[in-house]
Amino acid sequence: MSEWFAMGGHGYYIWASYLMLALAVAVELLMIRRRRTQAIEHARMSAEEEESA
Amino acid sequence: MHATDPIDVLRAVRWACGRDLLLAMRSKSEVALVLVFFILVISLFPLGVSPDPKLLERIAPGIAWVAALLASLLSLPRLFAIDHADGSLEQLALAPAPLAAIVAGKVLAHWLANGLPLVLLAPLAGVQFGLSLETNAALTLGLLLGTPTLSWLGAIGAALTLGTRAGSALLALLVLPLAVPILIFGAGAAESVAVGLGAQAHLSLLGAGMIVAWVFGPFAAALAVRIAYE
Amino acid sequence: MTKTGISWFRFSSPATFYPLAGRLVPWFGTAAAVLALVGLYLGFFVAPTDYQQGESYRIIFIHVPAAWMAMFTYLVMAGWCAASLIWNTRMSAMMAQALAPTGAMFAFVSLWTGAFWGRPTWGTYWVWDARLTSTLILLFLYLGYIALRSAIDDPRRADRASALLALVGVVNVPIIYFSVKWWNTLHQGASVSMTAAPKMAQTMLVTMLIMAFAAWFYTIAVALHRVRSIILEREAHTDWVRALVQRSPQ
Repeated sequence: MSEWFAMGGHGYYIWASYLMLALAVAVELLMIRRRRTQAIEHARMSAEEEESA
Repeated sequence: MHATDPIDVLRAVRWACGRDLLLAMRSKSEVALVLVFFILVISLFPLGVSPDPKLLERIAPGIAWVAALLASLLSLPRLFAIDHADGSLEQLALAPAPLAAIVAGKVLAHWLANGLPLVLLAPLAGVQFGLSLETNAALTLGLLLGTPTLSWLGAIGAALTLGTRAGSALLALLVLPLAVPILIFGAGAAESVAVGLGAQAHLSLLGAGMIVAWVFGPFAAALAVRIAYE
Repeated sequence: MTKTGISWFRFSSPATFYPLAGRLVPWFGTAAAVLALVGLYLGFFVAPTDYQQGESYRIIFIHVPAAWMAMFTYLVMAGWCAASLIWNTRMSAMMAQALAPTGAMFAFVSLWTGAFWGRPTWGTYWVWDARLTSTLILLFLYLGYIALRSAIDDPRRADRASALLALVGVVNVPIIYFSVKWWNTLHQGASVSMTAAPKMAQTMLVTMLIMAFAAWFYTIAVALHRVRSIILEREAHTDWVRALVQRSPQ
């Protein structure tokens, strides 16, 4: 198993690449989730403001 | 659409060009500053790299071109900023004269006041780096053909960033990537002469780029100005 | 479908596009995940060790699809920008706005993975070859688009200005690529070329294609999700958005 992980000595490069992709994707998914929550929250607040005005 | 009488177009170009040149003459120090910046940047490289004349001779074209790019960026915001600030640009955008022609006049004036002096100063820089006569000539000719295109790319960028608080860093980010081909062919022209090959292909491409820039630039920049005033 | 620029005018209104995008996101997302898993399995357990490059060549299974997506997304983004200028539709501009961050992400990943592939293969982390250098410039083009958008306050003006920028950029991309390629062959004699990847065994090619489709569906899913948020942000003052956010406490 650890032999496979070492990837014939190139493990460092391969995992640095794949992990960066995973990190980038994870960050992007988190960010779009957060953007949606904030957008809904902001729309809700401006709707309530408009109503109470 | 207004009937674009060619006489009107030429008149608009001449008017805009003359106006901007007059403004440039009034602030000669700003123009001179750009030239000083150009020489300064070029002089920094030997200090940062090495005084080895062989090395400097090899990298001189690239240095001169990068310095020209940066110096152009410095002078670009002024292309529209003053007219934008006092509202005259908006008036021009609404004027019956074709905006593209007015913008062309402005860019021509900008090149005459900023680009052309760089071209005239370039041989000096070439001598500073020990370039041969042919290499120096190729460098200067390349700059002559390339700086107008730079002015046009910069004009589009300056129009797009009109009124934004972003400043010259944003303009640099927008313009420099697009200017890469000019840099490659311009520096490449001088370099290929230096190794004994001809610079015809490079210079032809730069010339073609200049023509394309003059044909499409006015309309793209005019559109960008209109976008800024909607 | 929604990405190829066929303008179904019925969906050019944010109000009608919003629910459609919402229904499409799970499909594309799932498809992307499945394809990625299949591709990764093939890439690590089925594709054979390369004769010349050993195991490190496996990086191309993400490097090349990322580079393709960065390029392709820019083209699609520019297409939406053109549509937004021609037909003055803000939905088209919002799609472009939604695509840019993902395109930039793939450009960055392409550069990073390219560097880590280059090191064991050619000895250096950075190689000034035509494709990597062009991808770097492409990343700058994306960042310029995003920066210009955020520098302009009025969203419609931001739409139009960044659309013009993207169109000027897309026209320049082939010129940039051509000039960088010329520059590269002049200086390096094409001794190092990332386009001359290891001669592709069948499984390698299939794996790369599967990963490319995974990246494509991922981009669609993410862009559609993001555009929904953009719609909510920009249409917050409309009745339908008001009704939507007050009705459901998601």
